Amino acid sequence: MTERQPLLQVKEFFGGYVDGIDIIHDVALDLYRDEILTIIGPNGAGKSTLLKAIVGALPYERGTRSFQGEDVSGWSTPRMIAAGVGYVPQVDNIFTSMSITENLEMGGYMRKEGLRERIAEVLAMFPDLEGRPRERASRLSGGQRQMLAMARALMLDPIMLCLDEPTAALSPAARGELLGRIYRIHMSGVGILMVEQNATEALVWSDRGVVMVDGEKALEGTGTDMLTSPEVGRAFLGQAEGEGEGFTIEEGSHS
Amino acid sequence: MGLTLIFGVLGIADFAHGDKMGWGMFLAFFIVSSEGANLGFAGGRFGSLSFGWGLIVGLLVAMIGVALISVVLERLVFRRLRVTGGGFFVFAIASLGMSIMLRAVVQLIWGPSNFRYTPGIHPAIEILGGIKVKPDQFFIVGITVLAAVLLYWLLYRTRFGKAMRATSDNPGLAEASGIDTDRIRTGTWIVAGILGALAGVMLGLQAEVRFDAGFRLLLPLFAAVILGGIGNPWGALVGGLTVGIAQELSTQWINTGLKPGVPFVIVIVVLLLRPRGLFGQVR
Repeated sequence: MTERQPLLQVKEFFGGYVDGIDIIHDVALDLYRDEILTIIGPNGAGKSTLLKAIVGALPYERGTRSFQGEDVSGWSTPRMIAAGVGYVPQVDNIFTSMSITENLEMGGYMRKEGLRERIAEVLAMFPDLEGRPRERASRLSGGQRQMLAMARALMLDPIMLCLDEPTAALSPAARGELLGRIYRIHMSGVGILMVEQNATEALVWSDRGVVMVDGEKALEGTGTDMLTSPEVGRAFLGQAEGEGEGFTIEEGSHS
Repeated sequence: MGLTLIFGVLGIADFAHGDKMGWGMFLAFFIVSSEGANLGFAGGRFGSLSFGWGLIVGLLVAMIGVALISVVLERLVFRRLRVTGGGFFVFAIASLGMSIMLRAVVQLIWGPSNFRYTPGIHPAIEILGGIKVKPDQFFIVGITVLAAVLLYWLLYRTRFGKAMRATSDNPGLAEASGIDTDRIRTGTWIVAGILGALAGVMLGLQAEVRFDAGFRLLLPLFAAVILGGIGNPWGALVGGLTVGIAQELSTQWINTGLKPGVPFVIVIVVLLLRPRGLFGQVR
């Protein structure tokens, strides 16, 4: 493989909400612009915490984060956003009292110019939201809310999008629809880092997967490897014994 | 409206709002009184109104002054309390302390007497059905409606106002969208201060200039805000009118001395029947 620069690189990374109590232990992670990377793992494994840390929303962190080759350790969320990272939290990810257009305006708050044009572009990516600009966000369905949340995060033309459990609490049909949208956003040149509970469905769309357990990276491999590994299947994908074929999985930075 | 703005956007029940109105009232009084006249501000009257340019200058001075007071108090107290993790009640009690302090300073400077912006009798003119209205009251209603329109325009049509609503709706996401929420909070205090000063001057024009006039109005103000729906400027206007009219009409049936209790009855009824108020949104 030719040498290419990762969009995001996290090394020897520790972090948590209270000083001295680490939830993330010594994690190393790379994300390239041409891939979708999905983090899976049991509840409480620190997946969302890791995502928050990457976008600078965690109060305490140690280790290095770099974005596009630049050291961004300690950068705040607004700074990361301005640098080209879009972030969609799992909950409370839209302004419910505001209209669809106003949500997008807030997403593009830091834009110096071209706000109207970008709103039109982003709405064109989400047909569900188009044609009802003044609709209040609180009246949208769960799937439409997630789409609005993503649309909001796309307002600043990010080159990397961090999604925290985008399909949580959605119907299977809405999950498929949303993952398809995420794939299309990715194809427009955006690196995707997402945390998912619905692991099987997410891994189908992913280039690579990472399994986190107890705040550490336990396993890492390609999406296909993950889906076909009996070990991952039994532990995280709810497969029965004998399902999936054995593929070798590269050991993570388990310390 | 200032009170509902602070309550709605910042989630703070500002018990000092009444006394900020008091400060606005007295800053304008300073300009129109003899001290101000010495500086060359007073004098003149507009048509049948009881005041002239002096009061307009006074109003501007009051707005700037109260906005400054609000920002200084925010920086000195609320911002620090927020950093240390103070909650709703900490803010409310702190604002109660500010209220007492602000009122005491007014009393120290101007004393406990009653004043008027312009001395003399202001005759009322008769409108429909024998209702008598003072020309000043038309002015007050006009200014109030104008203030509500401007506030609505600010909140729903401008970038800054939308950011205020976003900060109120979801401060974490607002910050993650790159909105400088500290600046938005300061801006909110400035707007609320301007509105408070305006209300104080109008109150002084309508009634009398007295150190505790704003404070006495505080509880009816909260009643109006709750009735109208917290955070809604139109709600505050309609709530204010309803509470005021209900108070005056109540004297037909109950003892005038019981009048101050009317807002509380309204609040209890509203909270029982429609807790989000007339125009409030379900969260």
